[in-house]
Amino acid sequence: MPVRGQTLDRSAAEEIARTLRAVADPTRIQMLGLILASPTGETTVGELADALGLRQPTITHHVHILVEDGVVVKEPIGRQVRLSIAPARRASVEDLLR
Amino acid sequence: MSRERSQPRPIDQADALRRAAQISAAADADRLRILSSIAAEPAGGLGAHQIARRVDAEEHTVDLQLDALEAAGLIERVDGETVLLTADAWMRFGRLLAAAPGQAGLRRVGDAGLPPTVERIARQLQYRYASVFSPETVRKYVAESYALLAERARIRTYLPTLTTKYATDRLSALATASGLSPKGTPEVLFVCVHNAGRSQLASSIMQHIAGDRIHVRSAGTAPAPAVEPAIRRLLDEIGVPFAQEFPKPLTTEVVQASDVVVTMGCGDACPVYPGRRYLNWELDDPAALPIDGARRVRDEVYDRVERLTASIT
Repeated sequence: MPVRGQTLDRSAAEEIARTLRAVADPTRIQMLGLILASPTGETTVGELADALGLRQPTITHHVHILVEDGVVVKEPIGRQVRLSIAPARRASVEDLLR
Repeated sequence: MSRERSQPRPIDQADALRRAAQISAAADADRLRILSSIAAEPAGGLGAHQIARRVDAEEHTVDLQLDALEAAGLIERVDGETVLLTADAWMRFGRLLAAAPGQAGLRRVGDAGLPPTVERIARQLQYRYASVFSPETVRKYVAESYALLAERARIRTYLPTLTTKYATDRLSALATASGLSPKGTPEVLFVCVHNAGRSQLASSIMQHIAGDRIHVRSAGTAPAPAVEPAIRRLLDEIGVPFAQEFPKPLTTEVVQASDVVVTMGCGDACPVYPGRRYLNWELDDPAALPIDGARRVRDEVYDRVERLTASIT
């Protein structure tokens, strides 16, 4: 007989809800999908803007929200900023986009 | 052109909107706790009053939250009482919700060892996707879907239904993404009692008229063992190929997956979900009529299907 698991406590639930709010936007979902699908697991604001047909400032705004929550990590390489999914969040993001 | 092909394609807009709406619906601490209380239940489902106790809230507030979660396709209520998580909820939120350690261990699913029910699902879907994917591809998707769900769901009772639903979603998404079926294809479901006569006529005719523009399915509230032999002949007379469907039971997933549900003589037995278009066609059962009467029913079905097809494509 399997044992009953536990109901999430309030603070854990608040934390997950925050992340879900950060992800719950069609453009951000498309951006995360593109990052996951890219062969290197990384991309740039410019590439996302091209792929989605949006202006760079729009993408930057969405990136900011995702970085704030810790879903996306920014890493400056030379003059570029590479964007990737935070390794600890990758499994959850993959699940949300399945 | 070649550059475009090498770039990953973004999730299409409509799909992204749907997912965003679903994630939004779950992005609330109270709703997440409700979902996790159901996920934590080894018996597979909980009543609203039990949920209310576990999340320490009033039953009527829980009911309102459940309405929102149901509208987002994250839970379903069976027999108006027991609340279950849907395949979407398990897949997308299952791991997030499993706060408790000691969750039912990761079940390794070797390719050799699929349970018989899962093998049956694979065969059904191989049949359904025969024109689109190889049997190996379909089986791989079914096996994977099963493994992913088995990892997340604590309970086994609903695993086969969840597997079918999830594998079908993924296969149709794959078909859409590969350009094998058009995006946003409307799903039409024809339901009669035996899924052996009227619904078979209607589904074959619509398949013939609409081709790839509509996904057509049929089901019966009490499916017969086989399709009425006269149906093939009635279709043949008007040059419509028989869609080769076997009588199938009406399931909640198939209703939920449909945009338009047409009932023919079984209106009350068909579950009603919000957001779907329901039509009820009053038609005699051709199996109970002499051939001339059956032809009249067939022609009536043809006219109605033609009008319906025009209205949704």
